[in-house]
Amino acid sequence: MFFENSAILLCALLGIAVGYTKSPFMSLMYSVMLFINSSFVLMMLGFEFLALVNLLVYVGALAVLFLFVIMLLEIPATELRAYSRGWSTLGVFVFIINGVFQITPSMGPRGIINGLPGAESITNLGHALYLYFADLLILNSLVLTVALFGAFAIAPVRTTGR
Amino acid sequence: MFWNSIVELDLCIGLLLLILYGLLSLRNGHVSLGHIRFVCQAWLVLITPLEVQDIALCVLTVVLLQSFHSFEALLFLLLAYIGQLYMMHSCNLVSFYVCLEAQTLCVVVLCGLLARGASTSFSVEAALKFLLLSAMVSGMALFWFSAMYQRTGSLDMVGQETFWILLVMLFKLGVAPMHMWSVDLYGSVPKSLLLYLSTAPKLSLFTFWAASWHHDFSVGVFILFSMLIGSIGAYGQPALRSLFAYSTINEIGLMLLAVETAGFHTLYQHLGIYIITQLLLWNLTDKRLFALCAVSLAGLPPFAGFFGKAWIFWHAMSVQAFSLLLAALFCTVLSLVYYLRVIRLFWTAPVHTAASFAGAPNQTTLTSACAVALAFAPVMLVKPFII
Repeated sequence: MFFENSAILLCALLGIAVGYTKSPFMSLMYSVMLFINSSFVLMMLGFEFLALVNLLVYVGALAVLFLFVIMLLEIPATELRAYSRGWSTLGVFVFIINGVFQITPSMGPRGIINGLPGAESITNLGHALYLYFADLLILNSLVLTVALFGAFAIAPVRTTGR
Repeated sequence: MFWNSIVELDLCIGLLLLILYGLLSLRNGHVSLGHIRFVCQAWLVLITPLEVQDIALCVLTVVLLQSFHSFEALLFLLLAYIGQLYMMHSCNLVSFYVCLEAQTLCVVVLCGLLARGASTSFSVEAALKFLLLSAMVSGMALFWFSAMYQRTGSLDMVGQETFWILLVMLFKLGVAPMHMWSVDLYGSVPKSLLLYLSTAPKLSLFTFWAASWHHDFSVGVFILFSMLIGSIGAYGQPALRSLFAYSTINEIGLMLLAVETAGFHTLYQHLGIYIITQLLLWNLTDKRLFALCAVSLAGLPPFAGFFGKAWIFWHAMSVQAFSLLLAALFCTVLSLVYYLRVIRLFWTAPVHTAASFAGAPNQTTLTSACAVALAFAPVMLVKPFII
């Protein structure tokens, strides 16, 4: 359990670093390292599907989104307000708590299907999504269709000419 | 389990064909909206399986489809119908959530879709409020689903997290500490959507509750809240819509009393009478008939509303839930006054000052069917008092 605990402690340290720098770009870099670290922790605990999805969504979409935001603002002229207001003290507090109490999760992935005890999480997920809850998957596609079609239907129709 | 999903696939393929038919043929001059509406209603009747609550939902949706005038609205009603159909038969929390989201999203989109003309900003504001509140509440439900799964490893309804999930269900019904969205929504939504909103989601949610929802605490607090707020809150309302929104909260409190005393037969009876009354209420163009529907909602004797309420009270008495029964009777008496005020306004006041409202002109068959049902239902319902 030592490696997991130290990786989680590293997460907390990186989280403090996100708020403790003056420049937004370094804050973004620390947050990317934090996302990769959290994915690593998940991989160590046995949740490999979640680890990959974390990487894909957080680093691949969210960090890139923040990068675009920082690029469109003027970087040399901005400074992070959180640094000057002292919010990072809260992060130090979390770091100390995490170091003292060693908060770690106590169990790994479980399956909703009792007949697959040794399977990894992606096998369980596949069995759940495509075998046991297959009809709910199709109903869920219906919900997504409502969302998509609704967005089109609500949009105001612009009449050309008058 | 794969073969069970073939049914949904079949439904969705049928719906897809309907969408294609509607979209491609509306440009043709020979096909009008009435034809497409008929095909939608026929599809509903053809896919309905054979249980009573499915037939009830199918009939209700067929009737409701009649008052919508755009193709997208018909489509969203059909999508919501599929969600409601599966909700009534679900026994797992995941399927309950998926079907609830299907139904709620369709209602939100319909609120935004039917916002045309002078009341656009009101309808859009109501749709936004409903969307944000219900999204937040559904998020809360998901959190408690995952808490329950983490503790017990199963998604069946055991444990103390069912209280919070019950709160979500009561929010969607419009029960009193969480009722503000329904008052706002009732006031700012076009009449056809109001018809849908006050009948179909309540039918599916109550059927789900009666069939497969288990919890081991009492909803007495919510009953008292709903009935008090429903009876007293209507007195300050200047608009007819919000008055009847509060009366709906009162009725929902009464139906919760039926669920609490485990009188599910009384629940279904009162729900059926309430749905017919709502359909009649918002379809009428004549003021005096509207006043008579208000009398039926109030629960005065020759109309069917009396028997719905009376049987709930009778069952509560036989289960010996006396304190809840006394509170319910007190609140029913309190709510009587504003119904009588509606009657006084519509029967005796001169024509040009009383409230007048325009309904769609071709609702005659629906109106006469509902009026017959309301007037003759007491004959069928008097039976339990004789036995």
